[in-house]
Amino acid sequence: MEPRFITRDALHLVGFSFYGDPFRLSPGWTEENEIGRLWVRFAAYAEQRRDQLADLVVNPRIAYEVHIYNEETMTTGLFEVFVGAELAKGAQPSLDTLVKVLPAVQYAVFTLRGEEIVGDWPLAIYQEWLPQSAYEMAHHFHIQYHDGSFKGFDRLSESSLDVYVPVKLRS
Amino acid sequence: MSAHFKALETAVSFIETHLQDDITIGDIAAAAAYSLYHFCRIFNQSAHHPPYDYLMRRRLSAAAEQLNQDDTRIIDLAFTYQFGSPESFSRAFRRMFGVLPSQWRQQGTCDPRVLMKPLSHGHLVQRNHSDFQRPTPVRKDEFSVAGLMTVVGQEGETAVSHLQRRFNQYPSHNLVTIRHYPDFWAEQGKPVLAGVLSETAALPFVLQTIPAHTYACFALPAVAEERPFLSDYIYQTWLPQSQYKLAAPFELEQARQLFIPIKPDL
Repeated sequence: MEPRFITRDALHLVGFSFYGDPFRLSPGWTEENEIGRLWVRFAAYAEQRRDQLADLVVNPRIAYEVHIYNEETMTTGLFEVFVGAELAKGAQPSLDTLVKVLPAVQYAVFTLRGEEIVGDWPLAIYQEWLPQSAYEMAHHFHIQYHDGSFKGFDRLSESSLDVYVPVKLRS
Repeated sequence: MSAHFKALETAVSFIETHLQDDITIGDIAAAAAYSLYHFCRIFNQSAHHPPYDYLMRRRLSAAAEQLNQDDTRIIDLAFTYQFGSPESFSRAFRRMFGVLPSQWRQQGTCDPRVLMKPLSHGHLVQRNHSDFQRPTPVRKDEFSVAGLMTVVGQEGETAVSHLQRRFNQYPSHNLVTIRHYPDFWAEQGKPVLAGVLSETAALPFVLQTIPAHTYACFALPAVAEERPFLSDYIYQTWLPQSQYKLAAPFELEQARQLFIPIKPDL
């Protein structure tokens, strides 16, 4: 699993957030777990504002799922999941949404294909690729970049998904 | 699924040997050779518990057993099982068992059904059958059962089967078994009534009337050996995660289904 590298400015996302164990209700790749619920909320929000969406977000066809770990995550398994889109410059998000600012950083971008998407890719990235690379984690989050290449869990063989991992050269 | 089971059994075994150590979910995931993210998903999927919830319940159950076995001070138990302070131990203990550790010790006895057991291969198999279904609440009006009653110990299901066979000549949907769980059942056995739906009872039969209740209805496993795993699932996993609590201390078995009387946990 070899990444490509890109550097991005700070990313302002508008969307919805969950903190906890997102698989508590349902661990499957369904809308019934908390990640699925976030996507449902976000899709409904985007649909309701279809006419204004072009002014609110940079690209309505691109969405981000961000998993953010904190000091507690390794102890308890609880973490934050944020689902949203990139906020357009100067746009005013509504009160029922949250804005998440991800720092400017270099990312290692891994493209997952087919069954890899539902496999243990974090293990492959963090415990296999990262220790052997010249890099270390820059921040404790990663992004799943949804640009339409992911066709759904019922069409995994036709799907791909980019995972962005913030990295810096090992000091 | 078997690869997952093997990893989860490794994780459960790791937890058992480190109940008193300062371990993290990250450590457990590493022992199972999974990433934290994937481990949380797989553990929830197969065990029906978030891993941290399972770790806490195992620690509290081990501490609860020790409370009734020796005189270790509660403050020492709190630190031994990694709760950081007696206050957080007591809070977690009361959340799981409904009483404070001191009250638990004072009672000196407990309902073993509420103690979280280490998940075994059998537990994982029972929770991952293709036909596994979470229960839905059903309402039953008051009814009466005429039958024979006995008191059986924890290993007494053979005696129950023997009682049930006495009523084999009746239509199977009319056969009912009621297992009672009074406070003393773990020490003195549980009263069990096996019989048929009836308004009257002639000697030597006894008549028991069960008031109207809402029940959680579970399909009984086809294999009798899997029944304890269903019981563990109900009392240690499903009930604590549901919005219900027990409405009465009995279970009803009828037409290959197990009915647990429940009421909303307000």
